[in-house]
Amino acid sequence: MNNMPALRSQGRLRRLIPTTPMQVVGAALVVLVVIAALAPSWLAPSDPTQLDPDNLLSAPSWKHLLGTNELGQDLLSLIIYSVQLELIVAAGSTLLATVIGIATGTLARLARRPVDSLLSGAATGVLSFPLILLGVLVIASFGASATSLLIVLAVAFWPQVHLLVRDQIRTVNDRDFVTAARLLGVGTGKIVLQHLIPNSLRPLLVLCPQLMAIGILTEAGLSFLGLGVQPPEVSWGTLLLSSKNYYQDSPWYPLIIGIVITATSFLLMLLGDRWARRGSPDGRSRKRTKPSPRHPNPLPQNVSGEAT
Amino acid sequence: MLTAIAQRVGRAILLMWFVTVITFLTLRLTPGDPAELLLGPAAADPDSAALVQELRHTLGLDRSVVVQYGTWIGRLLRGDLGTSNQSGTAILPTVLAAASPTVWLIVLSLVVAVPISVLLGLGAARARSRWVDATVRHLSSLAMATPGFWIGLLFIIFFAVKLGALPSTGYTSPQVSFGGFLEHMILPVATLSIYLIGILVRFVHLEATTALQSDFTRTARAMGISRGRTTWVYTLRNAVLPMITVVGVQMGSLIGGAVLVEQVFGLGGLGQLMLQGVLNRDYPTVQGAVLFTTAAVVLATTLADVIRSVVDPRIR
Repeated sequence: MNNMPALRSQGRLRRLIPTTPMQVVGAALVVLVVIAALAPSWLAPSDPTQLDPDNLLSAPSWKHLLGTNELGQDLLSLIIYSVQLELIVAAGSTLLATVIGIATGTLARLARRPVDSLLSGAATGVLSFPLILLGVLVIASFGASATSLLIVLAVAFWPQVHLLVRDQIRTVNDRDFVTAARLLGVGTGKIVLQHLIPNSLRPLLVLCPQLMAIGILTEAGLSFLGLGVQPPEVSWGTLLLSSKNYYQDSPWYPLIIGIVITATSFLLMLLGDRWARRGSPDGRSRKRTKPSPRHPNPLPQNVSGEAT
Repeated sequence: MLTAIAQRVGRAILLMWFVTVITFLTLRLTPGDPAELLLGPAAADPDSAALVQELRHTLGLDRSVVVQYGTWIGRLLRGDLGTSNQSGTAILPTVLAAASPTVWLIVLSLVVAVPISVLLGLGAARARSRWVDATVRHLSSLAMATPGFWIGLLFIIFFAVKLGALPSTGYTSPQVSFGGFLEHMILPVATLSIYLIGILVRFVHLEATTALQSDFTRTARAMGISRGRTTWVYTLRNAVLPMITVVGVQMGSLIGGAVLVEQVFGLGGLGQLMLQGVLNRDYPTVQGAVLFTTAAVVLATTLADVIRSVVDPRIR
């Protein structure tokens, strides 16, 4: 399929063009999310700040596709306008954790003993601390806001990235092409930047979507406890929190918000899953044994299930 | 073996010490003076400045953080968690009382979720069908992607409000009325179990698939041992043993899930205690509750490791 010589020489950009139906749907969703985050007014049927006092808590209808909330605001518009915040919190924390994790993971491997055990100790320490507890503590000291949420999530995600990169660097470091580069007199800095780090990143493709899913779920959870995003600002979590008060008469209200949260994190998890299976040797699609252009050896793809 | 266990315990103690320091420091960084909060609006009155000062002194808040920490840990080592800033009651009984619903919730969810996950995971692995594999994978992702507190809310809407079959919120201790306890626990346990099954089933399925394809299974089959026996005895063992570790590792997220589920069903467990403590700047209570929770998590993971190495000779 894709690994015909003619295509390969045309570079990596070509691989970004979706071909299968699944990829087309996925790409369309990504475009939608980006539009919702950057220019929500293009997608939203109405301005979410606009109140409709005649339609408080109205059920889904043609006028309000997903109904209205207790202030008469259009729910679909509120949900679309919150995408930006969700993306900042979930993607921002994942990105922050990834950047720091790659740095510390590499450092741990290079600096060896004392630094390595210190970092790994810190990582396992943070891992065994329940995320919600961490959230409660940090938010209690810095105040509840989207920023605190982002920091809490980044702290909670860091150990996973750190441990993964550290292991990955170790495996890559033992490979022949690295030894060869070293024997050829390539400097440590160049080996790290050009060989070790680029070749250690693929498992992150699996981990990152999962972390983003956890980010969205935790935003919802902490906001539900009143510790996340604070009221004038709207997020899926705060919407769910306010919907809780009206479940008796308007059960569709919590239902809709919950479906949005679940569907989003489910899709993110599926994405991670797909990337994991693409990489694993027992995955369904076996077209991935293409040699990397930078060095002749195909990389081992031992990523499958251990990412969570 | 003994050194390994000693090492494990040593690391657990170090970790708990680390947690006490972090908790202590973050709480002291928190804006808001507990003494002023305790006095309420009266604290804003300039005349009561002396009163605030006096209260700070009795609560030990006028000393440096290091001294405060030293006092706290000194008492802790003697088994005294101190008294609440707010009510003056001893912390330990409060924490233990609050822990009861949380611990029950987690234990009962494990009791429900583990057998179900093993059955589903093994059954699915045995089917050896691509379609079944994909279904298991997707359903488990779906279970993990669904916010537990939302499922709880839906359960309340359906079973408590629509059908009126079960109480929507509240907690009855099993000592008071066992029937009432069960009635109140069914929905929360079901909620938490869904999440737990999502995690475990995928894991059992993966382990069982590997075990079913392994040489020892083929040999057993070749020697004439029935398919049922190889699945339910050999594969089961290989799939269940690693699960001990998984449950230990997941303890942290399980407690997180339990805190949210408790909140939805108004069970009033550890989560409630901590949230209230943070809002009231009740430092000793929060410290006690956090310490208890981490101790539980650390104990669970350590215990899981030790049990695993005892029952599974390959680990040693």
